Amino acid sequence: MYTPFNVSPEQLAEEAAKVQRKLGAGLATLHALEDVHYGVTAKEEVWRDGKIVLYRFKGARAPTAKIPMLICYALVNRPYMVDLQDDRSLVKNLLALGEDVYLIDWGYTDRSDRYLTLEDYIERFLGGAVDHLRRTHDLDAINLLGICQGGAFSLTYSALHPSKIKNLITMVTPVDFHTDDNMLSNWTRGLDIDLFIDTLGNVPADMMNLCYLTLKPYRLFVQKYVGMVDILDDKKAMEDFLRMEKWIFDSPDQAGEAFRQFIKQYYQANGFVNGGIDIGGRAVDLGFVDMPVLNIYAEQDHLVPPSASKPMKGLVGSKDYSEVSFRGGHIGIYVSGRAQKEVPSAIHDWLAKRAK
Amino acid sequence: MWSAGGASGAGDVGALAQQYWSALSEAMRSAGGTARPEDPWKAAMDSWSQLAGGARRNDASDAIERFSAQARQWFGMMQQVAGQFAGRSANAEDIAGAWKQAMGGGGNPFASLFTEMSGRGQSGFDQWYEQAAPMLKGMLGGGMPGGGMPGSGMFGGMHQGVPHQDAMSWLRTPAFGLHREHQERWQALVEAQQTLQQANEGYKALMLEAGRDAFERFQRKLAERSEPGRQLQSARALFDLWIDAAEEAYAEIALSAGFRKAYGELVNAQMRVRAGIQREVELIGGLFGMPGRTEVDAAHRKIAELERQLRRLRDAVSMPSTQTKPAQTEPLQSMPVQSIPVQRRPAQSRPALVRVAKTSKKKALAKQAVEPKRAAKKGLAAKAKSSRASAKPAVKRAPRQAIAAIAMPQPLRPLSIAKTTKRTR
Repeated sequence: MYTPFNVSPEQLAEEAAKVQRKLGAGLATLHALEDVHYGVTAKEEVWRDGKIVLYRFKGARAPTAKIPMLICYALVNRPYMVDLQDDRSLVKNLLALGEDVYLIDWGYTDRSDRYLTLEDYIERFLGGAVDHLRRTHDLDAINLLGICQGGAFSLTYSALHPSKIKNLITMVTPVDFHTDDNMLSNWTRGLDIDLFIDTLGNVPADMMNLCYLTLKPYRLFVQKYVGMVDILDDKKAMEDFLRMEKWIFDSPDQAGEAFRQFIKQYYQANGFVNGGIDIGGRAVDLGFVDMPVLNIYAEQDHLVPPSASKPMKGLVGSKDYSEVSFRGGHIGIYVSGRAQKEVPSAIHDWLAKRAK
Repeated sequence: MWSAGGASGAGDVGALAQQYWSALSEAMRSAGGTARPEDPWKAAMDSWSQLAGGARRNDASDAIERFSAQARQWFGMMQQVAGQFAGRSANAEDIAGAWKQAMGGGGNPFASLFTEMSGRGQSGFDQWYEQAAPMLKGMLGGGMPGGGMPGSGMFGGMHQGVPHQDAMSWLRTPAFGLHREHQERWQALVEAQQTLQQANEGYKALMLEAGRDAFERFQRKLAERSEPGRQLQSARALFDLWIDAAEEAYAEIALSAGFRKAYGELVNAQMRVRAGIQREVELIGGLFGMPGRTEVDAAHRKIAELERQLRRLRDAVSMPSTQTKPAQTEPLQSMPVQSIPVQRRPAQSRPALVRVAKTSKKKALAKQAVEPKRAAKKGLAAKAKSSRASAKPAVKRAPRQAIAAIAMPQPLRPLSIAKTTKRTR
């Protein structure tokens, strides 16, 4: 039997000294840091409905794709995650491959948005953006890329309006909300969501952030910041870290009614699987999702476990369903080095095969 | 810190590290820091935080603050525990015991962590309640808990000075007379507070269980490292192993049915208290003629509903089969809203296909519905289009004349519908 902790006093001293050197260097790094910037790709506003804006990204060259791609992000974080920085940008990489990329920006919710419903978000805003692109591109149908909650919205919209979506791509999108390893779902299912929303009105962003941190409290609140010492002497790494921090905590409040409906119909009732999702009086049935579907999920996703996403295959009506499994987490799927190489090309290649 | 362990290795470590520490602390002192040699790690981090504070940019300040707080606590602790076992043999139980001792003897590490988390600029319920507590205390008569009655606070002079137990008893009595509505609200609020305390206890008990499990897992993980090639090689590795153990223990609890129940009860209890206090605040505001949240919400609800109805009508207008000229834009106030015969889609107009409950049947039927589309790809386009249209929910449209009279506000301009779109499928 050996001792589990095999460190000499000299090694321990050197470890301490290393930390101290990092701290010392960190002072210089912090003095040299500028405010971080995000959203690197040029874009222009092409359509707006209140706070909701549709942007078109401008690549270095004109798009070669004939069908535009609309990115529909989640409501719970800001969508610039898909274009975070020059070397971590799903958008930039898609543009480089010739895609014509649009993004719907939900904006920051305020008290006046408290009664926006899922019908407003899906039919009015997402549907409005889809119709705008169909009209301006003179097309019947466009490509839709939904991410996380935005993926659930995209699936819903595609089920309600299958003729308007030519190809559907979903990333880290939950479909079965009642799997055993879905912690977020487990927590929401005991909530009296009516009481919750009636009390709060909109759901404060800080409350949402706190909830996400408590999914992995020691890792996300302790280990991450202790680990920051390792990069204190690296200006670029510190900038990347701070940019990510900015994104994580730069969250909009959640419109109360839409949140209530989403928790009730999707999380608590597991409506994609069991039925019962109602958008403006219309039932949602994934059997109507008959266009080609590409579902990309992350293997180490703690927010949307693969088990929550993979059942999509058995629920959609499409006969052309493909899956891509990405080795990484919920965030890494946009920003990791591997993601930059694998995800945009997987999407582009899949679309290219269906453009013929 | 370096001599705190009492083990033979610790003093050596202290001597070796002191030279590095001295250099750093001297550098900090010369730069204006206030490092205290007797508590090196904490003092170093305090000084570092002060110096780093001068270097902060807006984007960095929060992260630096979090880093300083965690580094102050954890670097010192991991080095202190590691110092006890550096250069000597120890078993998993000894190391785990020392770690537990360094964390305050066990206690409830998760509860402590959550308190720390929600205390750092986060708007958790505890912070909100802390802010509201003085007012609540005043409302309920200066004694929650501890005596007094609702009437002895801002609600008028009933039952002043009644002891706490009697107050509880009074709050359970049937309400009647002039103040019955107020009394019922206060009773409900006090009950909600009591329920919250119970729910808090239930949640803390689960966290205590998670904490105990975390220490046990930590010891087991250490034991697994008691073989060549798997031994921990740094204080940081010891810390990382604790994080793994804590996360595993927490995840097991957090995924359980018991946690779902306890968490739901806690949040629901928090919301009941919060709702009760908000209601009282709104009533007080009303006494001074201030508009309350209910009024503002009602206005927002009307606007949202109005916009929704307009959007539905706009969509109905822009359906290809009924293409017509867009309505003239007129001032919103001239719109005869009440005369618009808005028709919601009746349930019976939905296709039977989408109301099938069973997933398997649903999918099979849905495939029947989309089958015509696949036929279209084989050259039967016209027939398929017709079949598919019939599978979609039918939409009853408002009479065209009424629609034409609607003025669309700016955010809801009618779509341009003159184009005939080109189908690319």
